[in-house]
Amino acid sequence: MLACREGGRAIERALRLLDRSYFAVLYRESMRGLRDAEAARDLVQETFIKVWQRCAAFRGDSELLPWIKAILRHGLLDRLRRAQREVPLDADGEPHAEVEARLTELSMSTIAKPEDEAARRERDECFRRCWERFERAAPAHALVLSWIAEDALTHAQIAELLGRSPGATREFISQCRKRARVHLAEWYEQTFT
Amino acid sequence: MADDDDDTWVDAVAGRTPADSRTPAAREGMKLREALLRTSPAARAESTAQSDQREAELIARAEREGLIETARVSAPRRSLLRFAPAWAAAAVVMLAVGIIFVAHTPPLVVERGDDGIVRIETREPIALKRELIRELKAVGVNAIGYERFGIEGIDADLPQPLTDEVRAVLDRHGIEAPADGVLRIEIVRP
Repeated sequence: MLACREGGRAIERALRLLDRSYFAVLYRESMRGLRDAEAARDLVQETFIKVWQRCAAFRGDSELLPWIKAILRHGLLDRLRRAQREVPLDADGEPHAEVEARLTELSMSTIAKPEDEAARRERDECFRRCWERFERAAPAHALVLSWIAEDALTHAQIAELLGRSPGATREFISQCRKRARVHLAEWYEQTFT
Repeated sequence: MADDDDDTWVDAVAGRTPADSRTPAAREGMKLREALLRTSPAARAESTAQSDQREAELIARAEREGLIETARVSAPRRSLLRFAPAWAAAAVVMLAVGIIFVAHTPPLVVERGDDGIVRIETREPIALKRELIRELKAVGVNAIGYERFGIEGIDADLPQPLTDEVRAVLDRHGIEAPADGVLRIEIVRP
């Protein structure tokens, strides 16, 4: 970051260093949301450019990678919003009543007893399949949910990422849960029975 | 509508121990977290052999966007250019202020979508957004404005129960009060 502030050739060196250090992790994150190699590369480059533009705002007391990832995630969510307006789950914006009822019933039941490796693999495969459907249908919701799990995001961090008020953020989280329940229904069925 | 059950669920997804980890919401969140972390998509990073080309593209892009050129100019010039975003922001503010003084065109369409978002079509989205935010703030509502890809938006958590002053602002703009107190508005041109 110091080089970034020095200017001149130092910027080139800084950009190359950024690329070597963080391209892989940022590209993986971009691919997950955009599912297009060219677009993912473009977003990572755009992120590096923004890192340079905003380097004066970087507080040296925080870690660099989370700060860069936050910039990438803002860009990623913006691109997803631009690409598609996600449609409500049904006319009322709620999951189908029977799905809701079944999931409530399942989550009330006892979690399965220890299972063998083959069954676990099968369940993981089911999850991947369902999650991929979720990502395609509601990419922003799926992405934010995965970030919450991976980075233990707090409500405040989620609100900052979304750029929304606390109330709107809670509503978004509620929508994440509803959509997950619909798209992961098959996995829920395997997991809780 | 969001509720405490969702808070328990999202805390569990994030790995924070809920007050009662036996509730269905907590178990649902914990299982989802486990599955997410276990099946995190495999890295699909590009071959490192391409990194030179990638870096060259990045540098070229930085040059196209004037970053590297900006940095090579003399120090005084650089310090002036550093304020370029501020000048641009000031210009935008002046433009927005100017728009407010232009005759305000009343909203053409106000409707609430299935997702709870109030959508307003008007010829002056920025002016209307600023006006709404100003009016909401004047009656004690913390309204947050944003812009994304041509859509001007406002988020606000309204007091519950709704005060007469807040209701008057909403009525003035033909906006139906949200049942849950979470007001989300998107304003676009027709």
